[in-house]
Amino acid sequence: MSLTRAERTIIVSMWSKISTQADAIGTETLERLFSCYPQAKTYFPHFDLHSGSAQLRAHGSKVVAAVGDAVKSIDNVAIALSKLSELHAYVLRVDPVNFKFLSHCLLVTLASHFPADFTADAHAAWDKFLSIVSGVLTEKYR
Amino acid sequence: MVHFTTEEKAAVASLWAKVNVEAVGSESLARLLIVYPWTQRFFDSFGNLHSESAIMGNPKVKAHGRKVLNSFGNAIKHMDDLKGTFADLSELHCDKLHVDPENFRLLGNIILIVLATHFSKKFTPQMQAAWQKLTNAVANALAHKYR
Repeated sequence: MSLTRAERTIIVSMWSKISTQADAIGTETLERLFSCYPQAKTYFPHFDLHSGSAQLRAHGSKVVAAVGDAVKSIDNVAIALSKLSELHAYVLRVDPVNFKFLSHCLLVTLASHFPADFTADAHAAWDKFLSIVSGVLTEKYR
Repeated sequence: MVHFTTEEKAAVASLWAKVNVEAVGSESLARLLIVYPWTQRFFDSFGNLHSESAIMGNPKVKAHGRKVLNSFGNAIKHMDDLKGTFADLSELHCDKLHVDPENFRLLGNIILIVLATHFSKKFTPQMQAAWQKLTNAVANALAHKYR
């Protein structure tokens, strides 16, 4: 599965808007994840996950920054996220199902912040892109 | 059995009162067919599904989307007995329509995304959580009679 030229254009152009609110979007995505999929909290016993927590904000920023790295190397996400892929495979070992949950929550956050931009075509492009990113992050699992 | 708290029921009902069933229903089904094109396999009789604009404008997609979301309205009236409420529809989707239940989860998630585009900041994480629980429960209820 790889992105068409049109899909790449949509993602890169939307990213320039998204990046101006990157931290807020990252934090909100995680808030949605932990509200809707409380089982995801099991990976963060060491965090204060209450709304407004500094750790939540910091981690949200990290997650969105990684998505941004993938966007900047949209023609070779595997290379851009190679270290992160190893981290998830050998250290974090987050069950792959959670990437679907996180991706879904990011899509909801984007839809909520950018309703006019989040057309059906944009939705399709982002869904595909995030599943490529998820695939890269789980490709070394076994 | 899924239990919805008073707060969850109130959250769902308060948003539902403002939902444009025609718009959200047709857009959700259209997005399903666009974002996950393999789902078009169930809709050979729907005519032109060849492009995003064809799908979004397709009158059969609109009509069917409205029908599907109306049944959500029914779910909201019977949140304490979704399995009973959807028993007949479950048998229909299994025995006659042969729809993989994974599709109910896909559509449920798309409905949430469409609600997010319509309600923006009002579709808070807490609101999403209540609705997520509902769409998950409806998907499970629709799959309950599969054999």
